[in-house]
Amino acid sequence: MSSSHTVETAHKYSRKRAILWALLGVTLWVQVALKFRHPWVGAEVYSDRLEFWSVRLTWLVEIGLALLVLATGGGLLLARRVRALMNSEVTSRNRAQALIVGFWIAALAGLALSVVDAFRALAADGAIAVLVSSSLGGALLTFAWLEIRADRDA
Amino acid sequence: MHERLDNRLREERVRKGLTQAELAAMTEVSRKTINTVENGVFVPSTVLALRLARALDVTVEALFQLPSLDRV
Repeated sequence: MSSSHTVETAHKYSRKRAILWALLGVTLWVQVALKFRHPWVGAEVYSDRLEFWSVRLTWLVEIGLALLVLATGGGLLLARRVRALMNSEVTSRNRAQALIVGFWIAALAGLALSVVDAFRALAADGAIAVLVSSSLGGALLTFAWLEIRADRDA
Repeated sequence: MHERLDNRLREERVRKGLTQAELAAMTEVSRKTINTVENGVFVPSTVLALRLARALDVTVEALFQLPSLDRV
């Protein structure tokens, strides 16, 4: 049996996770919005290779982090019992729903990009960034919203 | 399929003098799970329903009921 202290610890980390995931989701969506500084999601212009790689690597790390937390539920450094409580039935359902929302955003973003591409050729990196960032950002924000809603009156 | 399930979890928990955290600890789930079941936001699995009933020393039927037909 878990102790009340372990339950409260898991609850505290669970709330922090919802806030952190929301922040990561907002960051990804802001980056998508910034892509539209360039008409028709045009190719980014970098001053040198260093700038190109720093921007690209930062985005890859962000996406890798988003995928890792969505796949595992996060909190990988926490005690196993705390993690188990943080990922109990409600949270697993919330994560599944968030992944479904992310899937639909990806499908609709892909559809929208293909329509735009019919009128003006898109740069591959811009289109990929919009597709991946918007879907993962949407999944993270959905999860955060469902988790915060589930905490009402707790 | 019923998407709702009436429950008396809060009443039975309070009758036993337990907090949400204490009941969560007894049933190995998060406080969020207890809260969402009590509020009717989450329909628990059969296993969780059985664990809640055992922890509160009542039958599953005493804790959970299908909504009456006129409210379905």
